[in-house]
Amino acid sequence: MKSRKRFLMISGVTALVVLLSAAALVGGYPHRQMAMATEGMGERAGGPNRFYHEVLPDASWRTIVRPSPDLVYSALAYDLRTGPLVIELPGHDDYWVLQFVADNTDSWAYVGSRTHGRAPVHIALAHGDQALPAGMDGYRSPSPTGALILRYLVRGKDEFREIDRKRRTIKVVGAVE
Amino acid sequence: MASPLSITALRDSLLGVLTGLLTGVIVLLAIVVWQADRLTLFNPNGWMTARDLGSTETDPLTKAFIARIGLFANSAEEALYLQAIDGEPLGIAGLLRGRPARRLQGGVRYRIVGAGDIPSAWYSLTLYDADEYLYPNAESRWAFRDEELIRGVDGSWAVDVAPERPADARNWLPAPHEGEFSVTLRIYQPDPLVYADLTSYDLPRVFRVEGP
Repeated sequence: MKSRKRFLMISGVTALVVLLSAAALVGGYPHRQMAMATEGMGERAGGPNRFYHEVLPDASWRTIVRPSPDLVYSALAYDLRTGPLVIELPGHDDYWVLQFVADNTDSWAYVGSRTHGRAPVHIALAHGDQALPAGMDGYRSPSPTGALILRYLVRGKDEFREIDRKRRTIKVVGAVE
Repeated sequence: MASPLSITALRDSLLGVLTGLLTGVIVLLAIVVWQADRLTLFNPNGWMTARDLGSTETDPLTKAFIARIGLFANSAEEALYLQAIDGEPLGIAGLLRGRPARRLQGGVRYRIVGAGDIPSAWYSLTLYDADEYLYPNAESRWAFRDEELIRGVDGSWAVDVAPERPADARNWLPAPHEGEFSVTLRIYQPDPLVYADLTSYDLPRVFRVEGP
């Protein structure tokens, strides 16, 4: 009887250890993936809170798997620990979208032609109880760090040049508190 | 000197650890298969997709799954991503191997037929080689956007996915001669009608025209 009890206890604890270790690995996986991705973005941009601009994907493009050749990507790794940011995006009369991604891979907001039409967009990005500057749309990130992914639809080579010029006018500055 | 009691104890402990490991692994496998089954949606017109990509309401296992297969994928109201499949879903055996369905096969000619437009801002079909990057070809044709499709008078269209341009092809998407590849249908800012039930929405149809 005692032997059976010992067997059950040890097997139960072992199974639990296996499951808990797996849960810990799985639970931390999105954070690890994001940390890797944002580190790469920061390196390409020359630091956090700066956009870097990709070229239009073709068959030699290797930045991410399964790229869309109809979209041109820009990306920014944000770090709000030193304060909120103000982002000014130019107006655009075709499809574009800015995706806000938290440090656990959650897409927590979108800004673009679907939400703002063709008009220029001025937004503030903050975390926690940081004060948001008045007079613009405020977005509160659920995590102090994360990423912004910007996609423009490109319908041809000429249009690409125009979009490329435009996206380089995007301003990202620290908000004055 | 080991007493008979401690030998029994050692045996019980070893058996206990082994049984525990085995139980843990079996339960894990069951959870993974159950989760993959729950997350994979099939459309009868020849497409496969994942539920809730990019959503903030997903559980930790789903989040890990999404981080693995589609980091930075948009949520449904922004974009849908569907992958063409060859034949029927492969069931539990497929899920266990991480292959819910057969991918498209090099050397085979496929045809994707749309009766009209998909209600959305725009949509596209893109072909990826086995390495998940755009497939190099002399035409530099990796994708078709809806506005690029040459259509019939009724607005219907067909895209031929084949290694050589078929004589009757209006829209030819060059594909590899061998190995496996994939075609992704992306639907941007879809009408909610499209994603309300992706398992029954009448999407363009994927046909296997000819090949081994």
